[in-house]
Amino acid sequence: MKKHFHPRHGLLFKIMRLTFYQLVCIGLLSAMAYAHNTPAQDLLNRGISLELRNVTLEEALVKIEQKAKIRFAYSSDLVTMQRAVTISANKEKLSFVLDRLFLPIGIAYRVNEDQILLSKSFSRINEIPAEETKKTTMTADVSISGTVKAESGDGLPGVSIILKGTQRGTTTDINGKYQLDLPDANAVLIFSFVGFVSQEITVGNRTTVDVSLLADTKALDEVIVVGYGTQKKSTLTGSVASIKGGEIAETPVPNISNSMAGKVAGVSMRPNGGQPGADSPEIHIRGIGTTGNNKPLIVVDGIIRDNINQIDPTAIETISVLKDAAAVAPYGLGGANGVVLITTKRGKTGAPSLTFSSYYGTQTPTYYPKLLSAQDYMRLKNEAYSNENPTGTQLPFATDLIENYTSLNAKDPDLYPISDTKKLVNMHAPMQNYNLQLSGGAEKIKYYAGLGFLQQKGMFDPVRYTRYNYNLNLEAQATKTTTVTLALIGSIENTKSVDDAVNATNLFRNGFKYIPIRSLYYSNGLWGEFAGNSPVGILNAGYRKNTNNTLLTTLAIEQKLPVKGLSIKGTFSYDPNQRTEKGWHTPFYYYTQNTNVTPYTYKREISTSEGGAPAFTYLRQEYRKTQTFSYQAYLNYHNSFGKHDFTGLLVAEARNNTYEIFSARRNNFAINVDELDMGSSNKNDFDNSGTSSTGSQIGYVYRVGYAYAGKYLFEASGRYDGHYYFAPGKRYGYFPAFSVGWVMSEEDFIKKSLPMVDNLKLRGSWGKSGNLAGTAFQYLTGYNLYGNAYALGAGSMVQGSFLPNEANRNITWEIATKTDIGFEATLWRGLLNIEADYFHEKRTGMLLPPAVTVPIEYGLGLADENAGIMTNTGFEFSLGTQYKFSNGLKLGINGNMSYAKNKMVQIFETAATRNNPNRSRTERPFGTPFGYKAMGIFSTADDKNDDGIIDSKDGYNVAQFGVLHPGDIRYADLSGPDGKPDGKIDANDETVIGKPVAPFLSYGITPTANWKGFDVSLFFQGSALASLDIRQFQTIPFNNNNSNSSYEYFNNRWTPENQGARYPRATQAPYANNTQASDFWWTSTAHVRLKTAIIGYTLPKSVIQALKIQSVRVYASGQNLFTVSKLNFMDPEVGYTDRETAYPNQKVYVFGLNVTF
Amino acid sequence: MKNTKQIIFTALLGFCLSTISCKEDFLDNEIKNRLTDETQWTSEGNADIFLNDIYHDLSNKWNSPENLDNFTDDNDAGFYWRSYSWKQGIVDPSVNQGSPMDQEYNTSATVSNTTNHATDYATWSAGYYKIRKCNLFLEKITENAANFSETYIRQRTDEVRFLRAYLYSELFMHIGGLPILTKTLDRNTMAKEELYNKRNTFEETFNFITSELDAIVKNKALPVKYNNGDANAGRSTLGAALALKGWLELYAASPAFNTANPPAGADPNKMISFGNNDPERWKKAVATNKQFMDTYGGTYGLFPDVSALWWEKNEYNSEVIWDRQIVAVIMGSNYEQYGGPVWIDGVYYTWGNYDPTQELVDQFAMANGKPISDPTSGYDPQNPYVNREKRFYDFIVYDGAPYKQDWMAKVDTIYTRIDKVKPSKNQIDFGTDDVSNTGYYFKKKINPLKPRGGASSGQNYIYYRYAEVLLNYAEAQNEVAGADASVYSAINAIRKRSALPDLPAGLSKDEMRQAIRRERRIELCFESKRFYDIIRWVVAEDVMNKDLHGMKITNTSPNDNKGKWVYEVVGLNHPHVFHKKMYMNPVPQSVRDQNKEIVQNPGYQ
Repeated sequence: MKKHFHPRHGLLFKIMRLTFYQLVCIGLLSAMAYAHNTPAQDLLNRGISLELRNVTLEEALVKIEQKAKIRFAYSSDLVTMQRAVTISANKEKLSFVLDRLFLPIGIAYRVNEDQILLSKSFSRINEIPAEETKKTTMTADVSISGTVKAESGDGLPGVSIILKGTQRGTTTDINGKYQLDLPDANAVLIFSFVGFVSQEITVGNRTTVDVSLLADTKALDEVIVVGYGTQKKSTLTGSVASIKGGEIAETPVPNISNSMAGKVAGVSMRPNGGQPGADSPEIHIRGIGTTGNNKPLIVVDGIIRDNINQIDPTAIETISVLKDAAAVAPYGLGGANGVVLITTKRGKTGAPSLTFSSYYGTQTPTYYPKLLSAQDYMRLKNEAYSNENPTGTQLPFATDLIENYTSLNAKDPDLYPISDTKKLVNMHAPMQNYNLQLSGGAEKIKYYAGLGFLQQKGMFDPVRYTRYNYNLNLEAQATKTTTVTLALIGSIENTKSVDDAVNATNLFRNGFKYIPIRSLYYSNGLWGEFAGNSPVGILNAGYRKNTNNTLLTTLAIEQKLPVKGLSIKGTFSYDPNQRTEKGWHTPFYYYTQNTNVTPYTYKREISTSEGGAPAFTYLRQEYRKTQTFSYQAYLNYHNSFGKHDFTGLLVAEARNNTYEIFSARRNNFAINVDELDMGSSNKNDFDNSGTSSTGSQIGYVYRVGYAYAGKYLFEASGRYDGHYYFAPGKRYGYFPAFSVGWVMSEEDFIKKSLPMVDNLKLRGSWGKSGNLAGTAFQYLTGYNLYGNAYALGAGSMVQGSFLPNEANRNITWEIATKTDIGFEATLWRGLLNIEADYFHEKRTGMLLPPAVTVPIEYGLGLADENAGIMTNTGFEFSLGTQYKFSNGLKLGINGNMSYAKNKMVQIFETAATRNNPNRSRTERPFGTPFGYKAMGIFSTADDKNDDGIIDSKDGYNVAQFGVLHPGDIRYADLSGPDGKPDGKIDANDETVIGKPVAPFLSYGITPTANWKGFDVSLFFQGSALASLDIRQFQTIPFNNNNSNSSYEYFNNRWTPENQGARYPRATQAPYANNTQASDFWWTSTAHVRLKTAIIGYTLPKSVIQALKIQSVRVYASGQNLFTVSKLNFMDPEVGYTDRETAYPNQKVYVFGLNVTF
Repeated sequence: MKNTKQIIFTALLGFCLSTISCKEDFLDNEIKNRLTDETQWTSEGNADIFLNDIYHDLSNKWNSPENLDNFTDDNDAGFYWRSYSWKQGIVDPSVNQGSPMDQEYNTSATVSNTTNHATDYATWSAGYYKIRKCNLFLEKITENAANFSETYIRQRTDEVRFLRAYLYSELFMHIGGLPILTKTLDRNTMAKEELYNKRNTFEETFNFITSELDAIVKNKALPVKYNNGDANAGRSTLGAALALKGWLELYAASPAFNTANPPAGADPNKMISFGNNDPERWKKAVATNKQFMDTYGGTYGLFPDVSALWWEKNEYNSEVIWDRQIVAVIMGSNYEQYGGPVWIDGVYYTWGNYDPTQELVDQFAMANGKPISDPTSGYDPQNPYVNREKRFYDFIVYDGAPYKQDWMAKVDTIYTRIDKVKPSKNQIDFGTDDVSNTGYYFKKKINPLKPRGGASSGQNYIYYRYAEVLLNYAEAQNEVAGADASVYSAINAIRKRSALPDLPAGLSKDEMRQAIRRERRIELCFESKRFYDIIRWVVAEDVMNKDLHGMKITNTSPNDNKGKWVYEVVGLNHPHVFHKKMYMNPVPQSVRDQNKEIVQNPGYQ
């Protein structure tokens, strides 16, 4: 049997197609069919939520009447109405609540019309069903009493005490005392109370039985959202981490992907720039396991979606991170990189609750480069000139000019300018967020509605991000067995950036390039230039605006079936997205100054911004529309037979999407009105384009689980998945997973020998999942068509077409084989929580271009092949503790750490690198940087003959790059073509010079404290084992055509007086020898930073009750407050593609207010 | 109750059936943005779309911020990118993908259409990427011959054979012997030996290219020349084929290659030379260039005004033999961004990438035709810019030069002198800013219509023009027969156009050689020709291994300019190292890593 199941027969396909549609249709329609109204006879099935502590029975009955809209009928001599009772019910059936309330105190009830008749169950046997009568023995000859206490020693009121095997019983009074008559000494009493472990006690010949109840950690068992359903944490066999929405909502970041890493084990990230609206980091679950697409799958409310950035953090109920095969298997070919499940908030039964939350604050770059002053710029320039021309006499700047520059500037700032581009930057950009949430529900309908507004301004005026969020969730109990849910999650995002011809990063580049001896602004307020560029000109030009309208719609109908534990559900979702972009470019202007006349004259001129920007005005508009449809049909089963617990799930899912893009442009606007119609009417100034595509996926998910006695857990899950990317016959794959768990804490030997262990579970899983890499239709040979290829004759443009690469008919998905072993433990009743996992993954079939398998003369790109193999191994560890002191102080700390390191096992590599142990890419982590090994900087002493040049005359016989001088970098001659050092630095000397940019190790520590309304929470996040190339404007002098340099370089550069310098000697342009890729430049980005700090105060009840408000909390919070890193001049998490010109990460301080009415 | 359920059940069933019947296969999606193999070759129009892309791949050298002249003694743009490394002697098979001339973004080991390879000179990967397209076209129109007319096949075949020969010639001139591939490689059907080809020798490669060109000329399927207004103007011509052949024959007959001892060192595999000296090779060059003059001389000729040769309105003029088509803005050029004075009318216009050296400027003769080195020429080192030949004023912008293009409202005078009283923005600055470090700019080839940027120029890029044929002929004929009348006539035609008197009669062969080389350097300056000349004449090691110079002009009374303006030739102090191996570029290391059959050029092991 092959590992992957590819159906070959058309018939099977057809059957599956039929089956699928039938399933979906049945799911949707049969649910509707059941959704007819039933007569209101079934009062007892009404849901009720109620929290009453220590009230009299009379009061309790009144409350239940109000909540459940029923009436009780009883005679007042029935029971003592002043008896203390406690009711705790959360969305429970009325019958259950009544059973719990009445049984212990010997009251029977029955429904009559819309009333519930109460009667004394002991004396009026005829009211009790015949079978139960037998169990009830009537004689009463022993009377016992006692006190039920909690661990703390306080009496527990409202504990129910039942005589085992009967309905006879009582509850404790307000002090936890009880009194009960028993038939005989063999009686066994069951003490039970919500939130505590029930105890059975044989009375024996005692007359006093005091009981201490233990808090039941399992009763607080979390329900975790998993793929296509929910599971109890206690019986979960997969590796799933969960974050509460509240933890994330209070972090002042617009997009949750910035605050996930470090919150739970297994999530790491690598930010890539902090521009508002474009600040999504790369998130990795368990590191990087592939050379291809390594993004986790994002699922919002059960539907595969990609909207992590658009979701309002306050609307999030929970986030689950699915990590191992058992957890991701239901996602088939989408799950291999891990899955992030976002569940949004739902309404809760109860009175409407209106919450208003808001924060306001400012953002400051975490690091901003310190650029050279005018004088130091000139000094460095002169030094560089002299370094390169030891005998040269044409010093760029006269020494007296430099020394007198500040006084000259004071006299004539236009002739002797001093400028600082930092002045253009808004170092305190505001950010604000407002949010309104309404939640509530009655018996049959629950609702949640939210409205949010966020605005984040940028470091430059045109840059900003505005987002409106709206969401609505309605859940209706259409019949006693039918639930209908409608969920809408919408967002409108407006992102604005600088002129369309450039990016915000160009402005940072401009900041480096603009030298400090040029006027940024002249004294008359006009702006100047350097090399024909002015950042001011760019800021005064056009714009680029994006509007992104997203709506996620889900309609679900769930129907319980007549078979116990069986239900079906049909889900339909429609996600339309419309994105428009408008790019307006007006020429960049600057003013030139003529100093040959007095007063100086100024003229406006057009800049081309390093040649990138046209000298004419243009407008570009783009419209994209995406629609995604998902259809799901669920069949759910859950039932217990004694100690046997079965769960089953079957889902058929189909998804399809359509995409359209259309764009138009006109050049040469005579009238500066940013509308296409206003542009030139010359057809040569017109341009337009458009295309469309469709896609589809189909999958069948199953999960079966069996648990014995809550101890031995078995689960099998998987997905049979098909995708349109691949050739017919190659489209389907099967991804199974198996997992087991052993809840050791349920074993008697643990219970007896280790009483402090509340929960101890071992679990393991193995399975396969897929990763959709590459792009659609790579299996087809096709010629790409494009416009404006060439001009023939009178200059009219013609189309062109070319073959992009060879096709590969066999192309398919990557396969991840994942193994996970983990354990979870809860000790000392929740005082300590530990979870640890070891995992190993092998990714096969990674898409790689086999380019090196043909000569370069082949002349055509080869199609990717599913040939790569990579392993990824690591561990995760999380630990949490919480303790409440008797004075009310609550302290907690949670920490987690994840380590994941990959290794490329099989890739296409030429013999030249493969056979050289220094250079081999195989067996090394993906993204490992290669370069030369630096041996430090040549010192003056190395120039033995003192001629300023280091060469064979000084005994140095290695050819590096050009002429060598003291102050230049020395490289290790590691090897040559024959594997031996050859006196020449070239590709043969290449070796590993650092680590990939994405960290292998990530960790987070979150200490929290609460006391008398105050809450403090800190979140430290760190990562290590990653490095970054720091060759850039800050470290290389005059990096780009005389650009400015930084003090980082200036203060640490090599000079004859500073032989042990951090950076090489100054040169007027990047010197080839000193700018080679080498370990001289790759620097560790290990760091720990205070990612978030929050201090809040919740107003005491006494105050807010007077205000008729439920709760008020004020807080101050900060993001990226401080960082400890070896890289002390730049953010270790700086955008790694643009680095110094990346939009900086921001330090954010906000002040917030949450009010619930 | 029962009724309701029945109705619902029926509805359900009906709905299911309708859904099933309306979709064939849920996973079938149509690909809408690509042409299938069938469609591509179904008609002449469709096949032409593929051919258009090959034309598109011709290098638009306007857009190369460093043209080949940056790698010679004619130009010094200071510390500029690739040429900065080249001038330090950093040329290595594993550095910059072994392509010392090309911009960083053009040198990836594999090339795709999205890679900007329209500006490179001699990247192995880009070259073979384009050559494969030619081979594929030739194969496909043969395979699908039924879809095309005979004329179409005849014409397009020769057109593409020319393009392929031209593409080979570009690699050949930088690397020497090449694997000659005339069909597309197919890894699924070909044996290893067919897939992994050896380099052909210098001679075999040369013979292949020239015989292809010869065949095209003999076939006469193509027109000799297209004129302005012809619908097919821009396609390959017989003129282009013959001119390229004549040039390659001259190139190969030159001392660097027509020898048993190539300057780069021993060449056992005969990759960079013929391996012997054969005077007959000069004769071939004579014959071909003469054939051009004789056969096509009526169609082609010198354009009267050399300074206006490149202007948009003069496209396809009689002198243009082979050029790349450009249309402003859509597919325009940025040349005006790179060359010419940095500051015009007080405005920053160019990057100042092309700064003529004093060495080049000194080559321009006096108006009387005498070189400035001639004591009788009348040259005054303290007033050097008067009475120079016309081309000096056409091509060079010097201190005090009037500068006026069509787009300018008035004449601007460009000053490069160091003037403390009235400082000029173009003042020589020895490397602080983009302004020239030599005190010179040039204005040859600059589009007078538009100042710069945004691909706003639509001038075609001329690869070969008739003046070059004349110079080729003169040079070859002088080697074969000495300074005969036909040599004089060819050179004097060029001199005459630029108002220079004829060369003095009775020059020896050596004197004539010097005269031709000087003429060639001036006439073709900044057309990316000088690089090949210093290589093939084996003079690169002499002209490159020394400091280049600029002109520093200062006043003896700098604070009031009341003194005398002093002209001083100063060294530029830029390190220059020309290793002998640099007479040929290396084969990129990645090429040899992937094909063990490929041998390296001498000096690069």
